[in-house]
This record gives sequence, C-alpha cells and structure tokens, in this order.
Amino acid sequence: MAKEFFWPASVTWTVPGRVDGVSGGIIYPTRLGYHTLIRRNPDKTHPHLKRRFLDPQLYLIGLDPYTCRTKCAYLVTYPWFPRKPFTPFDSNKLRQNDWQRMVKKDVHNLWVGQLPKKKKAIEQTLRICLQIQENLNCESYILPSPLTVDQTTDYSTELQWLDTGLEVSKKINEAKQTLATIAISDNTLRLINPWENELIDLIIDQVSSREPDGAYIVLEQSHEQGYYCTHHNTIGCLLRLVHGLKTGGLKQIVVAYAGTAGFLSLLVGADIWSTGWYKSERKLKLSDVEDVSGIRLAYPAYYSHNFASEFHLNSDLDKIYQDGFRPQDDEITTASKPLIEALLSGHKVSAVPEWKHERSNVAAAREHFVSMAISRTAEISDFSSDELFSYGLNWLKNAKFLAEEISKSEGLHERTAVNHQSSWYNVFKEFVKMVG
Amino acid sequence: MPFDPPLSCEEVESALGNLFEGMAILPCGGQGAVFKCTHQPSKETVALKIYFTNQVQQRTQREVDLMKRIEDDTLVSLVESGEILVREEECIFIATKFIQGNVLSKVVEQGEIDIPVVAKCGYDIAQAIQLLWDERIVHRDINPKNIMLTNEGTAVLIDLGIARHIDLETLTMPGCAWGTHGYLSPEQAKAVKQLSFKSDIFALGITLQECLAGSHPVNHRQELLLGGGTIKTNTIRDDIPEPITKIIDAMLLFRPYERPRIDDIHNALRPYF
Repeated sequence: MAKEFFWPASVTWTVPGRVDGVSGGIIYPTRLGYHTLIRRNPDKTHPHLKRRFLDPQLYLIGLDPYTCRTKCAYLVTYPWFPRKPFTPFDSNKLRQNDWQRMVKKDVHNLWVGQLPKKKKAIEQTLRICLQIQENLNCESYILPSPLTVDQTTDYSTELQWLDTGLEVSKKINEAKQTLATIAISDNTLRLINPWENELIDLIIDQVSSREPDGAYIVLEQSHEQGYYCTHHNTIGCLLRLVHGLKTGGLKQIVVAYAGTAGFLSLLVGADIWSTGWYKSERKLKLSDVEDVSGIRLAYPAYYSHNFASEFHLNSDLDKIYQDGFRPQDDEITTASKPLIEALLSGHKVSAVPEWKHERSNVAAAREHFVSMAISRTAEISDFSSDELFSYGLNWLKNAKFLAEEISKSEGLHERTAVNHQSSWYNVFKEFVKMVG
Repeated sequence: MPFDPPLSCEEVESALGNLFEGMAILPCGGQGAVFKCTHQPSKETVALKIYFTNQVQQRTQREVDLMKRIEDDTLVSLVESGEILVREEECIFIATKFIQGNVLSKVVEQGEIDIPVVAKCGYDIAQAIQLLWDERIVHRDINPKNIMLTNEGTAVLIDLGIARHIDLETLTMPGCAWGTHGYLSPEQAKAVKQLSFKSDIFALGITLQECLAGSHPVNHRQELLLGGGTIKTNTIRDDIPEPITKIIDAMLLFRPYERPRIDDIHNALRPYF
C-alpha cells in the first residue's frame, strides 16, 4: 500500500498556499460544531477532503468543561457525545455562531463527561457515530474509543467498544473499512522499555486478533513540552505499536497527532500520517486543550527535514547559516525558495518578508512544512521494508549529526529543537535490530 | 479434590433417577468424575461429567453457557445439564454427546501419526478455536487429552471447563495460569491480563508437533520456549511437507500477533487431507 499524507482539517480545512498532493483529510470535531459540519459540502469547497475520515474524538470524554469550554462546546454538539438535553440548533432562531456561543456559555451543565457503560447504550452511541460517518461519506469508519491512561489496565473497556463497534459497523455498511482507534497517553509508555511494555503487547494482540481493517493511532503526549516527541520509550512504543499491528494483519495504519514522528511511523509500517503545522495540530496534549486568556499567536519557523526539526527565525537560522549550515536542494519548495535564495545571497532572514519573525507571519512556514511532508512521503511511498529501514537509519543518523553540530551554537531558542534526533535515531536503530 | 472413594455407577444412577441409564465409568477428567451412559429422553449416548464439589461453580456454569451457544462438529455438544445431590453435596453435572472415537493422547501414544490425519486434526481444531473466538472465548487448555478423533475422522475439541469469556471478571488468581504445563503459550504462562485466540494457536502448534513426533517433542519444553528456544518442525520427521512445517513453526512464534490467523492455517493444511 502506498504511503500517504492526510491533512488535519482542524484549525483550518484549507491546505496552506499553493500545495498540491494531499491525499485526503481527517475532520476533527474539536474545531467546529456538528450543526456547521453537516451544512458544509467538502466535495465542493475542499477537494483535498474528497477522501476523508471523521475522528469521533471520544478519547476526549475526560475533558473538564470548566477549563476546556471552547473544545467541549464543540464536542457536545455531536450526538455521540453524552450530554444533558439541550436546545438543538434552529437556523430560524439563531445564527450558527450565536447558537455556538450559547452552548459554550452553558457547557458545564450540558457536558456529561462519562462514557456509557451498558451494552445497549454503547451500541446506540456507536450506531449514531458510525451513521454520521456514513452520511458524511467518509472513506472508512473510525471506531471511537476512550483514551488509555493506565499502564496496568486490562484494556477491557477499549475492547468492549471495539467489539461493539465492529458489530455495529457491519450492520450499517459491511463493505466499508473499519479502523480501530488506539488512543494512548504517554503516561503508559514512558517508564518502561518498549520491548518490555506488556500493555503494548496486549493492545497489539487483542486488536489484531479482532481483525479490524486497520487502526487509527492517536498519541496523547502529556509530558512533552515542545513540538517534537522526545522520549525514547514513547517513540519506541509508537514504532512497536505500528509495526506489531501491521504484522498482526491489519491492512491500514493511520497515525495522527504525532508530528514528524508520524512520518517516522511510515518507515515501520504505517500507511497514512497526518499533521498540521500548528502545535495543536502536531500533538495532542490534554493540558493544551484548555482555554487560555488572550490570543495565542504563532511565529514562523523553518522546517528542515534533514534536521528532522525546525529553526527559530529570530536569530537562530541566521546564526547557524553563518556557522556553515546549508539547506539541501531537496528542501527547496515554492515557499522556501525566496528564503534560501536570500540566505545564499548573504541576506538575513528578516530581509524576506514572508519569513520575517513576526506574529502570525506563518503562511510561508506552513506551506513549506506541508510541502516537505508531501514530498518526503512521496519519496518513500513505494519503498520496500528494507529500503524504509535503510532510509530511516540514514535520515536520522544525519539529523542526529546536524543536531549535535547545531547545538554547539550558544543561545539557541527552544523552538530550534535539538534533543529528539539522537533519541529517535537510537530507538530506530534498536527497532531495526529487533525486527530486522 | 476428587471424590474419595471414587463415585460408583450405582451412586450416580440413584442420584439422577431415571434421567440416565447404563452407566459405565470412563477415565477421570481434570475436573470431575466421568461416565458413559444413555440419556433417556433423547436416547443419545452421552459422556456424563459430575464436577467435584469444590470446583468453582461459576466456571462450570460458564462451560454450560458456552456449549449451549455454539454448535459445530469440531466442538463437543451439550445434551443435558443440571444439579444433583451426591454424598450430601450439591454437584453440577453436564452430559455431552458421546463421541465414538479415540482421545488424541491415546493415538499419540501409539507413535507418529500420518500426515493427512495431523493436517485434518489441525484444520478442525483451528476451526473450533475460531468459533470460540467469535464469542471472544479462549479455550486455554488445548492439548491431546482434550481432543477426540471421531471414527469419521473429525477432530473434536472437548472439555471447555477452563475456557474463559473475556468480558467476564477473571476467575484466575493474579499471576496464576490455568492450563496444562507443556502446552502453555508464553503469554499464558506469564498469566497476562488478556489472552487472544493466538494463545490457543500456540497450544495447537505444540499438539500438532506431538502428533508428528509420536510424543511430546521436548522435555521441559515450556522453559525452553519462555527462554526463546523453539523446535523446528522439520527436525521432527523427514516426510512433513514444507507448508505444514512452516505453518506449525509460525504457530509457535513467541509474540502472539506474529502467529498466523485461522485462514492461514486452513489454507496451509487443506491440501493435505
């Protein structure tokens, strides 16, 4: 199966800039209400979402409606989320935004925050959820599942949802592909060597034995601060999970919310990865879902795939360029070309308006990042397993070397992430040794 | 504990009234006393098992419920069940259709088994494992003593007493593995929280090796397997077709998700019987 990049239809549904080659998209309820979703026609407005999934996001059932008002107010509008009775949207009475504001104001009273426990209630929840995915003409059903947060769990709740989901999906449309959601917190992964983590063994065995068509993996990164997952055990578990499920016979593995680690997972068996540029699109961290006062504005950063990381643009890229770092030809995209040409001509980043370190000046950075994601995915799309392993070892070895060299510069901003490359390389090397 | 002294035919006949007749003692199973007799209402010849009084009742009830739900030639079928008073103790009895044939362990004692018989046995028991797993049940004790070869050539999985329905609360003590030593999968031996049918596939793999070898292939095999050692099937005999050696070796892989699915086993074995 070819490797593919899917756009996360969350912050915006639109792919930045002039980018082509997105294979499909994943729609996230945390960004828009159900009443808005069903009034959109993505086939007309967003052709890259012609192939689409809808992530039910039931793994967010534990959110606190007092601290996560905005997200809960969107989620609670979806009929599969448990909620108290509320006034449905009526376009004759209110505009969509006004109704959404009303829901947000009252969300702590509407939000139930607990999964149904009785079999019939679970069945009904799943029936509603999958029927909506069917009505939206999604390519596959993503079967909802709670978030796994306890390392000692017997996983029975998640398996009950999976078993029931498989039954319900057959009744709605037996021909449609089903993806089991595996939503797992790094709380369960960080403290144990991935090869000795019995929870990972249990999940792979139990999910693959049920023979869904595929899996949709969401990694919740409670302990990660930056844009990149740094912990070697977390990354190792992600690789094991993907590879084990594929070995266990699942046809399609989708990895979301892992940032560039999603690309890494392609090298061990994943088929689709999805990430956006903003931090909230790259990783799921429950504390990041909370409302914040004021407006969070983003700054641009330059993504280098060879570095497996980004450069802060206030001064880091200029400094590192002076130290001898040169973007490779394979990193030139339509969006990055003006920046690279300026650097080659002896100019500083600040001389290129599209890349200037200014609040919200992120269009070129986003476009470049997505272009890189698509072109690197295309590059490895038809590789054999051995070629993927070889590519990964070379890529990460080089990234580790670059990170070590770059980290010699003093005063780097934390956005110029240099800590994960060594961890990824060592984990990947160990992985290849174990399965190769 | 077993009945001591052993239950006599007369005791059982008297306890059960006219429901069964023509009692004959059969070799004792792991969990109760067993008799061959005729079930009067249906006139079926049955194997009547009376459970020891200290057997966990829930386990027995589970076996009953399980057998009522699933019907197939490869799984023993239930004729009657209930409770009787024996030696002033309430005991549970289960009558299953009597299978005309031989228990596989007795056949193995006579030496190596022919390839077509082994292939058919593997095919049938894999099917039984699949049917159980469709109900999310893991048998947990597949070994030659729990498999009957009928006179018609079908292998039948018997004694579902320790099969555990995974959505019910565990009946085992933490860290304590049910099953028969020498056939436990690595994960079952470790008493992990959840088993899948892949654990039964492992036990079937060892059972098939035993059929091919005419005896259990390795002394203290379990320790070897837990230590990562495996016995290659092509070292057992020279005449085993490669697809069979490959599929059995795959059934014995350490990690459950690397073991084959039922379809793979069926496809590998079907051409050889």
